[in-house]
Amino acid sequence: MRTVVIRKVTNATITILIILVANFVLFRLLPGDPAINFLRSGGAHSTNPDLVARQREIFGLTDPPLVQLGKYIVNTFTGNWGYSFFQGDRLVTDILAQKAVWTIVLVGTSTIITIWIGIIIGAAAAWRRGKAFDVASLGFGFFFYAMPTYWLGIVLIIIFQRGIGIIPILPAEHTLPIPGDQDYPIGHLPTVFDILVGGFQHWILPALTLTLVQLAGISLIMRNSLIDVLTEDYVVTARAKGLSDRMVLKRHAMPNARLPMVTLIALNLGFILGGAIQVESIFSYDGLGDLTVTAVLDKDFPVMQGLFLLIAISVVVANLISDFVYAWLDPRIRLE
Amino acid sequence: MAHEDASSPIRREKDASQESLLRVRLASAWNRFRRLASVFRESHLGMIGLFILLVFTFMAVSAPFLTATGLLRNPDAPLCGSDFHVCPPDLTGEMDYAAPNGYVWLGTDQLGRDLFSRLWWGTQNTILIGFMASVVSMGLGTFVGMVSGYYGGWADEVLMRIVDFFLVLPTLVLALLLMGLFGRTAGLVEYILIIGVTLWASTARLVRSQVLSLKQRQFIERARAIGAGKTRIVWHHIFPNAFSLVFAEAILTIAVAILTEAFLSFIGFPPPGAQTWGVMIEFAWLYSAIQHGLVWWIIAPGLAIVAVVLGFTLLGYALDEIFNPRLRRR
Repeated sequence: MRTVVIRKVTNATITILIILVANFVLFRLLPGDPAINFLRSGGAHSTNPDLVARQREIFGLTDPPLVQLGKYIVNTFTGNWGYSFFQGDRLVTDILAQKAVWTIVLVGTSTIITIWIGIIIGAAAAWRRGKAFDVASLGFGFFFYAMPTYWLGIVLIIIFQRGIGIIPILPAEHTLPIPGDQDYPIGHLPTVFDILVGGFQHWILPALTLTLVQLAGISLIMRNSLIDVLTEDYVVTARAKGLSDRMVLKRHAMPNARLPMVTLIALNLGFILGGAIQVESIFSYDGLGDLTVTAVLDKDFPVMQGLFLLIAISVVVANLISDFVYAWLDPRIRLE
Repeated sequence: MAHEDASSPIRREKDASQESLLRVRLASAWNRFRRLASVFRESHLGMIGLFILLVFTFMAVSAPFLTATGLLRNPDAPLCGSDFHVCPPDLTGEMDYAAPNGYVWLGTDQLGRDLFSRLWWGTQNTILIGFMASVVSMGLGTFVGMVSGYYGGWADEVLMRIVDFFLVLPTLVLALLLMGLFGRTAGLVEYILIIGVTLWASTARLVRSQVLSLKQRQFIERARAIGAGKTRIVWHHIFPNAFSLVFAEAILTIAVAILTEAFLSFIGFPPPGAQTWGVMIEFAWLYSAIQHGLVWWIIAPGLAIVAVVLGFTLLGYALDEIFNPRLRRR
C-alpha cells in the first residue's frame, strides 16, 4: 500500500514536471523574438535595438536555456508567474485568482446539480433496464454528447431570451452587483436581493448549458454501475430476505453504485473545463474560460502560460486525490 | 536447364498454386467480412449510425454535381434582386440577410450567399478535416503504442509518461493553446496536425495494452522461434491483429475531431481556406444572425454537427463492440 502511494505520487510529480517543461519549451518555439513580440504588442511598435536588448535582459533571455528553465521552475513554485502583457501589467497570479472564483462557482454548482440529477436518472434507467425510459435517457444522452457546447449555449439563448423571453438579455455594461458597489445603479447601493437576482441571472443559462452537456456521461456511468451492482450476490440476498425494492435500492445497491462518481468527477474535470471555456465565452461570464479565449486571441503569453499551468496541474492533482479517495471509500479496491 | 521459361511445367504449377492461394485468401477475407457484417447488422444503433453517415457521404460527394446542375446555388456567390440571380460584382450584398423562403431555404448570409448551399457544401470539409485529423492521431497513437508495448523497458516508461501528459490535459485547452501559439501561421496541414496531436494519447494506451496481450500468444512465440526479427513481428504479426481495434477507435476519433474543429472555428481559429459547419456558426454569431431573425443560420449547421458526430459515435461503438473482445456481449 505504502509503495503504491509513493509510486502514484511520483508519477503525478513526473507528469507535473513534464507539464512545466512543455510549458517552458512551447512558448520558446514561437516564431520571432519574444522581446520584439512584446514590444510590438499593446500598440507600441518599437524595434529600437537598444530597447530590444534591454527587454531581452528583463525577460532573462540572455541566460543559457537550462538556466532559464531552472529559473522558470523556481519562479513557478515561488508564485512568481509574471505580468500580463495587456491588463495594465497586473500579476498573472492576481488575475487568475480573481477569475478562478467565478469559474469555481459556475463549474462547482453545475457539477453538483449534474451529479444529483444524473444519479437519479441513471438509477431510474438501470431499474427499468431496456424499457422506454432507459432507451429515451440513452438517446438524450447521446444527443447532448454529440453537441458542441457553445452551440447548445446559443440555442438556449434563442429559446429562453428570444423565444420565451423569461430571462432578460443583460445590457453589455451590466456587471454583477458587488456589495458596496457605488455605481449600481447610480446613487444606490445594491441590496442583498439585487445581488442574488443579478448573480442568478448571470449564472442560470451558463450553468444550465454545462449541466446538460455533462448529464449524459454521468447518468450513463451511474446506470452501468448500478446494473453491475444489481447482479451481485448480496443484492440477491437482500431480496431473499424479503426487503422491499425501495430498501434494496436505497440501502444496499445505491451506496456501492455511487462510488465510481468520485473517479468520474476527476476524470471529467478536463472535459468540464473545456466546456467552461465555451460557455463562459458565449455568455461573457467573467471567469477563467473567458480569460483563456481573450488571452489566446490577444497573444497575452504570460497569462496563457499561467492558465495552462493552472488547468493542467489541477487536473493532475484532482486525479491523484480521486484515486486515494476511491480506495479509501471502497476497501475492496486495492491500489495497484 | 538453360531454357526454363514461364511455359515450363514447374513454373506453371507454381503460378497456379500461387493463384489459388490468392483465391483462398480472398475467399477467407470475404467470409470474415460477411461474418462481421452479419454481426454488425444485429446492432441497431450501429445501423442507424451507418445510415446517417451514408446520407452525409451523399451530401459531401453530390455537392459539386448538384451545383453544376443548378439544384444548389454557388455557395460563394452573392445572390441579387427579387429573382435571386447571381450578383454582378458591383452589386454585392443586394440580397443579404434574406429570410428563408421557397427559393433560399435557410435564407442568405451577410453577403447575400445562399445558406442552404453553404450548409450542403460544408459537409465535405467538415468530414474531411475530421477524417484527416483522426488518421494523424491514429498513426501517432499506433506507432507509440506499438513501440511502447513491444519494446518495453525505459522506452515504454518514457513514452507512457508522455502519454499521461497528453491524457491528463483537457483536449480543448491543449488545442486552443497550440492554436494560440502556432495557429496564426498554420496552413491547413498544420491545422489538422494540431488537432491530431491532441487526440492520440488514448489510442496509444489502447494499442499498448493490446500489444502486451498479443505478445504472450503462441503464434508470436512461433514466429520468434522461426527467426523473425522484432520489426517483422511487430508489423507483420502484431499490427494486423491490433488493427481492427484501431479502426473502431479511428471512427470514434473522427467524431471528437469534428467537435474540436467546430470549437476552434468558433473561438476564432477556423481551418485556413476551408468552409466548415463550425465556421458557418461562427459567422452567424459574428454577423448577429439572431438579431436578424435568421436562427436557422445557427441551428442548421449545429444540428448537422450533432447528426454527423452521432453517426460516427454510433458506428464506432458498434464496431468496438464487435472487435473488442472485452466489450462483446456475453
